[in-house]
Amino acid sequence: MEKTIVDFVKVLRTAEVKVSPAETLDVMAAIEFVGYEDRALFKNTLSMLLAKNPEEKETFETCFEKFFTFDDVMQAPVAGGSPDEAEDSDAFEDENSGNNPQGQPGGKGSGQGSGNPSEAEDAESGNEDTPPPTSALGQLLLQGTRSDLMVAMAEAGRAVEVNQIVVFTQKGLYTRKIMDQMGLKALQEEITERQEAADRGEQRLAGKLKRARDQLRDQVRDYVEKQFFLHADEHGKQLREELLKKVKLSNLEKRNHKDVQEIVFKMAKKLVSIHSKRRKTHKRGQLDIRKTLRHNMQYDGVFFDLKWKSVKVDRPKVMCICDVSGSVSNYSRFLLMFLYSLAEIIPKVRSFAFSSDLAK
Amino acid sequence: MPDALLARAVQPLPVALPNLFKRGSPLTLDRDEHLATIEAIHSGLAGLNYISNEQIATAVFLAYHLDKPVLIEGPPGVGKTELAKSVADMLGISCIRLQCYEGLDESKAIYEWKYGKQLLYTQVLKETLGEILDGAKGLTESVAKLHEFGDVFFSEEFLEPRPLMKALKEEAGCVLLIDEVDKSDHEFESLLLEMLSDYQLSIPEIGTIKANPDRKPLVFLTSNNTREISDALKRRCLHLYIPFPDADLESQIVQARVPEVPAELRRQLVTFIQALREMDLKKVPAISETIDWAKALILLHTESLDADLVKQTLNVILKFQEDIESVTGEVQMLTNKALKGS
Repeated sequence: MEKTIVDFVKVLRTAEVKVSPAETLDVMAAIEFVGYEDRALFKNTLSMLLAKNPEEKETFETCFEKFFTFDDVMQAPVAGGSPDEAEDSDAFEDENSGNNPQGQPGGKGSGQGSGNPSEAEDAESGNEDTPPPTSALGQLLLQGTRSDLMVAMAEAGRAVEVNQIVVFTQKGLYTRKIMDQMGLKALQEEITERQEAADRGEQRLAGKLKRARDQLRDQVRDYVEKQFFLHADEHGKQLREELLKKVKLSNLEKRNHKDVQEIVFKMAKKLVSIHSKRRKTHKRGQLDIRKTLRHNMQYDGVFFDLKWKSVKVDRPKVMCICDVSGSVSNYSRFLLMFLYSLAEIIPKVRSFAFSSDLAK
Repeated sequence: MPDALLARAVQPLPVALPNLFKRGSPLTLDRDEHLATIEAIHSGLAGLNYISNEQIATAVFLAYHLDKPVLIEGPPGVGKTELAKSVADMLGISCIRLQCYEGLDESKAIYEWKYGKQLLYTQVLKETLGEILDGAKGLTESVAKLHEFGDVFFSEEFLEPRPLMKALKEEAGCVLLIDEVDKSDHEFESLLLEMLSDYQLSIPEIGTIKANPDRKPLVFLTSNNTREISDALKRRCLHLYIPFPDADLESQIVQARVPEVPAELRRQLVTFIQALREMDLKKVPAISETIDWAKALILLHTESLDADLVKQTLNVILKFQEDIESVTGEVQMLTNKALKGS
């Protein structure tokens, strides 16, 4: 589980929530105390220790929901799902029921509206005489519960380091890798073997396994896609932002303007927070008795060198005269955006624009 | 004289320790009981008319069990300061408050020397110097004799503890409320770091003062987000954000705080306030304003909202003339809306 927390912290960092190693350690200590059983408590604890301002809390909320939700990955049945799927989902909803989906009568009749009836019948009649699958993945697919499958998938994902995914085109690759890790090869072999067998039950099992395999592939693809959005999407955004910061202003394209606005706002905020608290000590103000006494002790306690304290907060005033004529329109657009962002934060921003006449 | 002073400084300690020990056990039990589970905190605070939500109770729970300060942020008037006070009341311990402002420094927050007394002491010392150095031959011997009676000048005798140090010295534990920490200077934040991470303070002349390890103070910091708090400070704290409450919670709060308000009026005024919060105002009304308004309406013997009354009492909930002007036009509509729900 520690690894999971570290992974989650990584996800938060890519989503621009600043999490220090010390905070990660704090989370570990806290979790030892609160445990994993109560999801709301777990979430609140993490939220308090990791996200430290309202914006970060919001980001945290979305990341947490994406990261710690597995159920919907598994619950969304693929269109045209086989009766097995229905049985399986029943087993999941009713967690106390038996693990063996083949023995579940509930799934047979309900069999999903979109499912092919003849196929359902086929599967139904074959229930009694299909032998149990031999490959590990096959057993898991037909006999394991959804949560078993989910855990296996997550483990395989971790083994192939799906969180390293960077670009969209890698999705297929990672899907394949996860399937391989889960034991696709053995399953394939079993399917081929059973298909060639003369026994009808064997063949039926092969068909079943095949369907389950295709479904699993879709699910793994979904899983990888989610992981991609979690790990790589933000990463891509960062990459884009870095690039935009370096690109020449005149080369900016219209589609980038939204991103630029975000960056500009961040820059302006940084600038303001640095400069809004400059202090100046004056020769006037309140008498600093403490300093005076200390300082004058060397003169036998006679006060003749007085110390004053006074703090002046310097709020920057920004005055801008801007040429907005066509030749520099790209630059001035950037500047005006910057000023606009500044104006939201500092009260005193005055801008004058001109192309031929000056206007405020 | 200095010897006598020294003796006095040392004496109280051995007496104080067993006392503390005796008082200790029942108190611990009591406090642990109050903070044992999140539900216990919930109901404990509710008993004091502070209606908490899941996050608030969890924050108090974690703060106590992990020994971490809580940084509370949120718009003004949602009960940040009140939380600290209520927790102190719940646990039956004192609440030491440090109000932050621009220019607050260590002499106001941590400690100050009693300069007047120190000056007097030097005077006395000067007079008795002859006796102390009696019989000493040569400078070396005199200096050695001077060293013998210890350095009382910078000792706890002459120390005036300020809130932070008072909180550390509180043997039975306490709630330390550092209010509006965002109003203080950056330098002050750095002063707080040692206190917040290790529950200790260093005084160069004396050494380090530590809190009683079994009864560390529960520290709450509040901030209105007027400026960004430094990462170093945030890292050491649990972060709790208290937003404006939803209608349900607000109604519960009003009921707890102003029980005289009839249910129907309570529902109306909560609906009205919630609608106001949706508007684009300079300062939206907070819970404290809702409570004030409820009290005002009770004083005016109101049983149901009506537009005229609302117009007359708008200044209770809105604190800017511009806001009042912009809302006045909408009052009829908002009141109707609030009445309609019934």
